[in-house]
Amino acid sequence: MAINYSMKVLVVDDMMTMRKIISKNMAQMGFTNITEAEDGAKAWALIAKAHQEGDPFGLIVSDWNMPKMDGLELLIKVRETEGVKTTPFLMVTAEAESSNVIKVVKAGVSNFIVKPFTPDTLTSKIKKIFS
Amino acid sequence: METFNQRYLAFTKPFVDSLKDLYSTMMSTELTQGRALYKKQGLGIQTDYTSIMGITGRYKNGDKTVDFRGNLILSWPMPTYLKSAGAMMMEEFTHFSDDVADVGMEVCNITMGGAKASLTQVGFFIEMSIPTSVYGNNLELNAQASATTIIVPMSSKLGNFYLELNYEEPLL
Repeated sequence: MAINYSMKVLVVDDMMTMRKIISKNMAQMGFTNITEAEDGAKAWALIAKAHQEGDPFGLIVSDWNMPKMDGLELLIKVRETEGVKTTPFLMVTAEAESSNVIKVVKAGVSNFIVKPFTPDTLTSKIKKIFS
Repeated sequence: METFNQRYLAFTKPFVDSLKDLYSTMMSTELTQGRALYKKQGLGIQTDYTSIMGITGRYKNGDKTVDFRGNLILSWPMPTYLKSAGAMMMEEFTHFSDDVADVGMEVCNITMGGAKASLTQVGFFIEMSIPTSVYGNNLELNAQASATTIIVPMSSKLGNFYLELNYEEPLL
């Protein structure tokens, strides 16, 4: 499946630094429609609104460790909700233990990236989701 | 029975390695660590920006499970901080602003995450928390009276800064 670079992308991280790094890297990949949210709760509000408006996100890139609603809770909410449950979801995390990988795989993550990462790693993880 | 120093150094190394990995991967910068020192009360270090992340966890010592608490602390002079932020975000920053305010916290977060994975393999289990930061001109960061603190000077082409780990009782 070819990547539609004009799809709506949601980047979720409580750290502005990481949001900017991911958004910048994705813009360099060619993505043109990137929205940012600073925690899972705000992300969920944006996801629900976009779905209601008939213009859903095509990809969610979310940090795991965040206040309010973390990335795993957001992933579970997305996967349990009709209409958005198949949205590709890339989890970004600083925690690399295998127990964590198992948790997000069980929850239905599309791919998983461990910080620190290079732009090339981010690109290959995203391409793999749509391959 | 391992000595306190051996266990303490075993605990410190994954944090240093994780920080080096982060600088290498996301800032294309190799870090060199200086000699680790115990930091005593009254011997503060000068800093313009410090990020702090609490550590709670447990480890096995023989048949006993021991809980511990502490902090990971990273402290930069402002020129080093701005160069590090610039290298990480692929921009040039000449002064402190909201654009760079949480770079140090993210560095702390990633350092903790990498160390956590390594420490799990050697029997230390730690919980992630949310980092915080303080900044200002020439702050002095002193050792906590109730804590034991180890400080590791780091140097690189971006400048010098410090990694600290401190423990409240019970100690390792």
